[in-house]
Order: sequence, then structure tokens, then C-alpha cells
Amino acid sequence: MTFVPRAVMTAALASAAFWATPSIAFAEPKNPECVAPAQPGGGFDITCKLAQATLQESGAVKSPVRVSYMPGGIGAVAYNAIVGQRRAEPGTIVAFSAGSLLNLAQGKFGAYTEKDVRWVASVGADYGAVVVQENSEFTSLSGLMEAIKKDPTSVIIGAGGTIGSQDWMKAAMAARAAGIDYKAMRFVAFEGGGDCATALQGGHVSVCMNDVGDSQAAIDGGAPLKLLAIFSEQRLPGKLAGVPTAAEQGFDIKWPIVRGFYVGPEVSDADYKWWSDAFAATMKSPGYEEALRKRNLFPLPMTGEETTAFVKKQVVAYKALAAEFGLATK
Amino acid sequence: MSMPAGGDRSGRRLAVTLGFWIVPAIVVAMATTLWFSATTIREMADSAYDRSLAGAVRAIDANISTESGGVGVELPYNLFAFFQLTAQGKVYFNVSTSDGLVQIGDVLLPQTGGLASGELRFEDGTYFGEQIRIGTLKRPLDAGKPEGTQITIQVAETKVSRTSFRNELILRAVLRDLLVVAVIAALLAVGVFLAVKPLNRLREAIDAKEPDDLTPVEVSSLPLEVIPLVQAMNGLMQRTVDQAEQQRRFLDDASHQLRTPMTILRTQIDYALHQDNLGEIRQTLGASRDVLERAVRTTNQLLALAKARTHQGTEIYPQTVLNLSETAADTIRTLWPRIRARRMDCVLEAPDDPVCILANEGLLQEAFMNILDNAVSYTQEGSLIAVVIRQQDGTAAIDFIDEGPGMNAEELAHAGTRFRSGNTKGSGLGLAIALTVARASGGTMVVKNRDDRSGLIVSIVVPEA
Repeated sequence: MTFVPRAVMTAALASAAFWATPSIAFAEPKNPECVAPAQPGGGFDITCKLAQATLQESGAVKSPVRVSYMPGGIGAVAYNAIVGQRRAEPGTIVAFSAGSLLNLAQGKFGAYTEKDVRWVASVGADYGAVVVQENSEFTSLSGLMEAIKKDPTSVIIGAGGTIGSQDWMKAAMAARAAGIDYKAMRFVAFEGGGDCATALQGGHVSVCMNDVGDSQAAIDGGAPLKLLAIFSEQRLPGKLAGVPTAAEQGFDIKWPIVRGFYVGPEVSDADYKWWSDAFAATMKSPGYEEALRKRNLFPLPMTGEETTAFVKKQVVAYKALAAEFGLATK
Repeated sequence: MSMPAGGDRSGRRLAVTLGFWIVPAIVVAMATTLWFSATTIREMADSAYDRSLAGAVRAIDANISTESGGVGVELPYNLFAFFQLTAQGKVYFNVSTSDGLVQIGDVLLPQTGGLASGELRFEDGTYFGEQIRIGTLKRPLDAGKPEGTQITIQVAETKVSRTSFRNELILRAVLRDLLVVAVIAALLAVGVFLAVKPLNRLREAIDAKEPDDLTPVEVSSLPLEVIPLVQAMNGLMQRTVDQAEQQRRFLDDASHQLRTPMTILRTQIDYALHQDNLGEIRQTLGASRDVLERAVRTTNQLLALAKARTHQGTEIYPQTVLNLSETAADTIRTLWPRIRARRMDCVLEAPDDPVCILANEGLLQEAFMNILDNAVSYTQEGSLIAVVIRQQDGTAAIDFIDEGPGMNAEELAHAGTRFRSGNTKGSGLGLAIALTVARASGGTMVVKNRDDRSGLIVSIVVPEA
């Protein structure tokens, strides 16, 4: 799974070099709204909050962006709502992640495909992480896998999304790497990483297959959790430098997560371009890097057609991966 | 008390027989109640535990929000924790929508199929090798659109607590029923012992009797069921006593009857031995011959009586269908010289059609002979004897009617009893023989005085063949 970060990094360099002068030529949509298609506290929430803060800060939007929550199927309900009923709302952007694309690849978003919305921008990259309670008996990913191997039912694996979701995929890949039948795992699905973190703190699950962004946000917020591993190429900088990668612990798994936004299929070209330009401008603003860092995200700036192409490529790749794990694709 | 069918029943104890019937009945009854108890307990335990499951399902249901347009599920972890504590097991849940977009919780929980919208159902299942009980609720996601997307809420718990609770109840029921069986068995044992006790007392009472004590056994203190048996035994003993008494008297009388002529004979022989006069001796021997003839006749009669009594005569002396008038005529012909010697006359009156009875010919002739001989012997010379054969109501009767002095009341009462002769000449065996023969043919003998004049009527009445 090394192709994603490489593509991400290339894109990041390219956009930084060539979009020197953003031009926001069109009228700003009324009542801008960012839909986080999950319960508060997860990755989608962070993505929307990032947009809310940075778009305002950079001056790209005048009126404040409202964040709303539409939980259901890790974005599935929101996707269906946008494609079905809210097709032409110019002011509404919806957060997506790599998990949304993986679900799309498996047809978990209902009858719709990745071609049914307009992909606006990628605003940052996140990585999959393995999270446990701070005082958990597990101290390493290998220790965790050992325990699952010994008794699959003794470890309750929590994740945002059901079987086939990206969180499940991370667990399944780790299990496969450890020589465990991933179908024997005891798996509890949540409506996003935020719910899983809550359940983890309550001791209802043993481990959450979450993301760095929402997990570290919870830890920063004082939640008694710790990261066992991060599915990144190298160790992440800053306060995450102390967390070993999965590869370091013998599990060669990378799971970068793109975070971005889409709008409804009937949003006009003008409005689509307005959002695209607004993000491009914002991502080049001076405070953006700090905003990413604060949210434990990493730069992956893409807008407009570049995002659409990236999404299509990813969906193809995810279909292959899903097929590899015996999941239905379409 | 009916005995069990089949097998050798002799010598089995009454208590064993009672047990043979009652213990299986109790066991079957108890097994049935136990089965019902177990079923009821199972249903009750399930219903009680299912109610708390239903509570958890409703709690999740109440926490599903669709306000934002999405499907938000606030998981009631506090309730789960409490639930887990009380259920002492693990709790699983799963929430999913029929469009497949939303799936939260233990996604591998066994699905309950065929639920109607709004239905809450409970099922047993297996989850990661554990027995679980699943409560599933299906309802429309949007109450305003009953045909729209359905949401299914499942809560499952491990069955350990429920099973142990249930097993505890069943164990108690089993123990209770076993106790009941034991108590019933003990009470039965006591009851049987008490019921059989009078029988033991009866046995002891009989054992304690002297060997020759044949007095009836006291029945008043015995159980009702046993009284008829003991009464029958008493009756049997009484008949034995009577029979023994009869035989003793018969022997007494027979000895007495034979001793008298023997004594006379010895006296006459002694007298004759001391005589020198041949004429005297001859005269004495002649007298002895008369005595001897009487003794021979008595002996013959005794033998005839014994014959008639042997098994009612039927086996050793087979019965055939006889014409009464022929037999009577034969008898009269046989005795005719004696009748004529006394210048008497005898008439036989019989219906034109033959009157037949079932009897042994020899014995019947013997009986007629004795009656007729009596009539000849005990009446005055020149009198008339009438023998009348008649039919009435399916019986045949033959009357021997003489013109003698008849009998007084006491003689009539004892007529037919052995050695009860009205005078010293006869042995008294004649009518006894006639009575016995009549009984052997299923009939009887009636003796009465004539109404019209002095004389005796002896009638043999037997069923017609």
C-alpha cells in the first residue's frame, strides 16, 4: 500500500508550486454548511472543523461555515441524501475520507458510485492508528495480535463502520499479517471513530482501529487512550514521534487516509469552482500548516479535477483490495 | 385387587404386587409433572430474561435519532453495563437498516429472519461459540413511512446466567418431586403394612389353633375384602366338620348294627357247641342262619349306600336315560314273590308316554327295591301297594303308596337318615339309600303320610331327562 502516499506527496508538491495566485471570482454561496456524515468527535468532524476554521481564517468565506452532523453508515446516509434529495445545494460541502472511497468501491453507499458527486478538494492526510486504553494490557501491536491469535473472542475490536470498512480493513490486514483468520475476529462496528473511542474508554471494546487525527484529538482532549501503532511509512513528526509504525512492529501495512470534501452532482460549475478555489487559496494561507498540525493531519492539497482523478484511481485500487479480502465489489 | 397379567403370580407378596402397580404409576405421574414443570420453568425463565432484553432493545430504539437526516444511535452503555452486571454475561447489540447503509455494533450477530415491521422477537443463537439469546426489533426508520427503510435493532446476551437460573429452578423441582415420591413411597409402605397386618393376625390366629380345632375363624376384625374369603374357608371347614361327624356316626352305627347280630351269633354258636342233641343244634343253627341273613342284608345295604355316595355315583356308576315305568315294573316283578307271600297286591299306574330320567340303573333299582320292601315289610298282610308315576313341571315323580300305619312326626322328620328305623326289624338304611340315589340324579325324596287314610307315601322326584 505504498502507492497512495507517493501520489499524495507528488500532488502536494505540485499544488504548492503552481497555484500561486488564487482568484475567487464568483459569488460566495449562501449559508455555507459542512456536513460531517457521522457522530461528532470522529475524523469527519475534524475535517469539517478544519474547513470551518481555515476557510474563515484565510478570508475565503465571509459568512461562518456551519458544521452539521448526519450520521449513518460512515457517510453512506449523507451520500444518499446528497445524491438523492440535496443534489443542487451550492452551499453544502460534505466531508469524505479514504473510508468513504473504500465503501463506495464495495457499493456500500447504496446504488451510487464515485461518479455521482463532484469531488471538490483534498484538504489533508491522516493515517490509520491502533488505539487502546491508556492502562491497557496491550503495549504493542504484536502483543495485541498475539492475544487475538490465542483467543479471537477475547479481544473485541471496535471500528468505525462495519465489515469491509476501512477500519475493519486495517484490522483484517493486521490479522492476516499475523496469520490470524480475519473472519474469526470479534468485531464491533460503530458510527465513526468518535463512538468507538467513547466505547473504548468505557471498556466496551478492547481496541479501536481509528485514525491518528481523531485519536490524537481525543488524547489531546484528555481521554485516557494511547496509540499502539500508526499505519504510516515512517514515524510521524512531533508528539507522534514516539509511536512506532506498524511496519516497525513487523506488520508491513500502510493506511494513509485522504480527507476532503464533495458537493452535490447538480451544483453548478461556478459554485464548484468557487469551493475549489476557496480551498486552494486557504491551503496556501500561512496559518494552514499550523491548523493541520494542531489536528494531527498532514498536507495533501488537491482541488477540482485533480481530486476527481485521484478519487477514481483510489476507488479502482480499493476494489482490488476488497476483492482480495473476499468482499463484494461493484 | 386384580393381579398383574402374565407371569407366575403364585407366592408373590401382596406388597410387591401393590408396588408393581403403584410405583410405576407414581413415577410416570411424577415424570409428567416434572416435564411440565421444566417446560414451564423454561418458558418463565425465558420470559423474565427476555423482558430485560426487550428493555435493552427499547433503550437503543429510544436512542436512535434521525433528526439530522442521518441515522444516529446513542448507545446506552450505562444500561449495558448494568445489564451485563445483572445478567452476569456478555451483551451484544447490532443496529442495521434494510438499505444496508447503516450497520453498527456486533455485525456478525445471527440475523432473525422473517420479522414483520414493528415485531419484537426472541431467538436462540450462537455467537463466537457461545449460546446466546437474541431480541430483535424491526421498525420503520421513519414512523411516517411504514413501508420505507426498516431499521433492525438486536440485543443479545449470553445464556449462562439464564441457563444456570433455569437449571437451579429445574433442580429444585426435581428434588421436590423426588421428595414427594419418597414420602408417597414411605406412606404407601406404611399403608400396605397396616393393610396386610390383619392378614398376618389371621394367619397367627389360625396357626395358634389346636390341630383338631375346626371352629370358625372370627371375621369381625378383618378387612371387608378378606371377610368373604375367610367366611368361605369357615364354610369349608364346617362342611368338613359335618362330614367327619357323619362318617363317625356312620361308622358307629355300622359297627353297632353289625355287632348285635355277631354277638347273637356267637351266643347261639356257644349254645350249639354245648348241645348233644342234634335236633337242638339244627334248630339253633337255623336261628343263626336267620340272624346271618339279616346281617348280610344290612351289609349289602351299607355297601349300596357307600356306592351311591361315591362322587354322587356318576363316574364309577355311569348314568343312562331310563324309563321309570320299566324300572318300576322290574322292581315289582323282583319283589313279587314276597308281595304274594304276604297276600298283598301291587298296582303300577304310569302315563302312556314313557317318563325318562337320567340315573344309574342298578342304583335306581336298589332305591325302588328298598322303598317297596319297606312298604311290604311294615304293612299288614293283604293290603295294597300302589306305585304311581307322574310328570309335573319338567320333573318326573314316582310315588310308593302303602296302607300301613304311616309314620309319626319324629319319624317323618328323620326319614332318610341312616339307621333311623321306625322299628327294631329294619336297619333304617333303605330310605337313606333311596334319598342318596335321588340326589345323585339331581332330585330328592319326599316322605309323608296319606291324607285319605292310614298309610305312607314315599316319592322320588327327579328332573326329566
